Amino acid sequence: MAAHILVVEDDENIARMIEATLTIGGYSSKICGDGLQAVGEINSGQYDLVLLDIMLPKMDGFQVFESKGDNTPVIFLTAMGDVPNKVRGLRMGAEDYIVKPFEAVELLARIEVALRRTHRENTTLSYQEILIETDKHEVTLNGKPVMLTPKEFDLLVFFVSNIDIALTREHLLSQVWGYSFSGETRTVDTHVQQLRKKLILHDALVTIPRLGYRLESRRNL
Amino acid sequence: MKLWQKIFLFTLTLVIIVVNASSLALLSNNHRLAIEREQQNALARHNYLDLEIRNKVSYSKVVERKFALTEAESLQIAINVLEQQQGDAGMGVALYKDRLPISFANEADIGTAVDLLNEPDYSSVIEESGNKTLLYIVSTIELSDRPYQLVTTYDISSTYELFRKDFDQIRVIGIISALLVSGILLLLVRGLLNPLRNLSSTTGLIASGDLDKRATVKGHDEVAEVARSFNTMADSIESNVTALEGLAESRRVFISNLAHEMKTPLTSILGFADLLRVKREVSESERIEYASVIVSETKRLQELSGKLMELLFVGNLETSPVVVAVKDFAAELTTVLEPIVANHSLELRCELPGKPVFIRIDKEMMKSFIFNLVDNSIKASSPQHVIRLIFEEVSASAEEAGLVAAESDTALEANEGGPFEGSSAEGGPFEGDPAEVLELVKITVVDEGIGIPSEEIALIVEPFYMLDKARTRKHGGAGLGLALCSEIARAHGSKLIIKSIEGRGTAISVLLKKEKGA
Repeated sequence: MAAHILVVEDDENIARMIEATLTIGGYSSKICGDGLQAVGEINSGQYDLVLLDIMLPKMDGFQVFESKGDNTPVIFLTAMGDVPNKVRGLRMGAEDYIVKPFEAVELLARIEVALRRTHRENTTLSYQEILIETDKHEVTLNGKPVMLTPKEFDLLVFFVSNIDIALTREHLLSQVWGYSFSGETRTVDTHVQQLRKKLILHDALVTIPRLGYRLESRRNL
Repeated sequence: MKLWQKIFLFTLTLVIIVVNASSLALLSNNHRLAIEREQQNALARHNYLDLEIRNKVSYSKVVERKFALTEAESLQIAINVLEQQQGDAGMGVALYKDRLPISFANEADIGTAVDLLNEPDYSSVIEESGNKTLLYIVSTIELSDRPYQLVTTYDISSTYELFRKDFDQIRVIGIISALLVSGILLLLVRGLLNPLRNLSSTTGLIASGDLDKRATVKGHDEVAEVARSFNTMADSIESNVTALEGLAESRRVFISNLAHEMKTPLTSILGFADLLRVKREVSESERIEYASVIVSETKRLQELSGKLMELLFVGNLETSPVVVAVKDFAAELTTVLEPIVANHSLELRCELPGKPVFIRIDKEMMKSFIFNLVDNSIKASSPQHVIRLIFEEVSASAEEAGLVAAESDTALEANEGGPFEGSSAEGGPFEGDPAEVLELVKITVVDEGIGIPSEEIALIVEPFYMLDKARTRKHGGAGLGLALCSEIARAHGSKLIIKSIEGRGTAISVLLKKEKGA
């Protein structure tokens, strides 16, 4: 069951862009253009996560955060990239603070981390005959357990969470290995080779020339 | 060495030298006088003795009825006289002949004064013998035509003793007075130099950034004068620094707003471009939607950078004014503006003065000015509204017209009885007598749009200020239009006059000087 996300954003184009990004991440979403309305929406309790802009008409994002009644996790999504605002947002108890502009994959990755932390995301992921238990760190292929190194496991989870999305080597490095530089892309390649071999993903985990890799939903047989 | 130490040591030394020298001089003068008195006294007694001997000898001659006495007789008389002196304390007498003592009374030992005996007549000397100070007086006395030396000695130890005592006393008094003087001097010098120290510490505080600190000014002396002019200097430094800080702050706000205004379109552009890049299958409608957003947001950035460049140029470039006929200028404007206004289902009406009027303007800048105002009016209006572009002749004093470099944003009521309340004006430079009545041309753009809330009129010319963000953005605005108009008005030595009523419309005018004509 995919998460339902509320997008609070007053700029129409940005709201549409976020909506489209969420759609490819497999999330359903609703857009809300001002702060006052957002508080009511959040309090209806039907959302798993809120993406909250700070500069909003009627009521700013911080006020929205303070006025909301329930504990729906919130990610601030704002152009204000200065440290005091970031600290303020995180101190208030926000799950994350994303500074505009951002890339689609980055947004999806951060949403996934936030959802997993708040246990609103399934602990069991599946991709065709592969079953992943994220809490137990177990992977089975056709019911038989497959041994993966921790990094291979993280990489697999990241691919399965971003099906049909092209992931650059830089992205994989920063999301799985936590590097913020792009010097070690060879590491990604060797781990991808291992995943293909161990889980028989030669056809599904395709290489996108000059970009990276993509795990596809249908096998191109 | 500190200044107070220098002044203190110098003055103290001077005082001690002067006091001690003068008291020593006084003391030694007194001593000298005392000695002289003793000498005169001694001489008188010596002479009395001498006379006594002579008288006794003459008396003997008369009594004995002799023409002359023998040497022995005379000597005996003299010895008798000397012996009469026996017991007179403080004085000794002796009679010498050929440097040998003949007779003594009261231990009149010639001692070391023996050389005096060679002197032909009177002589006196002061000698110290043991713990005594003695005054010797020697004179030659003839007894029966034979020379004898009469010697008298006086003990003047007490005079010397007194001098020594006085000297000791003066030393003690000198030391005490030196201590006293140094104490008073210390307090005095430090007290006098205190304002200087205060000034110096204030200078230090100001140098370390405490710009609101001031030196305390007391009295009218030189230090107070320095403190006063120092405070004047600190005032001007503070106001300059405050002005600079204000400038830096407004620049910081401008840049932070600019960054925000750039990030919003960039977020859409980056987001949609990234979607196009990473999505496996993009449908035709999605591709068109994403690309259209990218194009429109890019245009917004272009608009923003264009307005920024204009703002920068108007602020930095010299205007190149030419004299133009209002009628020709208006015709040029309406040709361009009419189709644009018509596109939004609006009507543009241009009103001109009855007779030919000329103005001196930088044509390109003033065109941009009118375009921006009309553009704002278009955004504020709903279909079928009328936008009026009015050129009219007015006369007002420079002060009234706001053509003087205004010190404050004073409200202006030029349009008496007009429908617009609440106004704001931006200052611009103008040289001339504020009271002089000027012939002016007023250019106004009036619309029937949404208007500006009166409390926001003063803010509306700030860069990036938008009344309604969503509405402004929908029309591709960046919030720089009025800031630009304000700069253009300033470049023409004038300022914006904004009048507006929420819900009924806005009128924005600029006043320009009327020219004689080409």
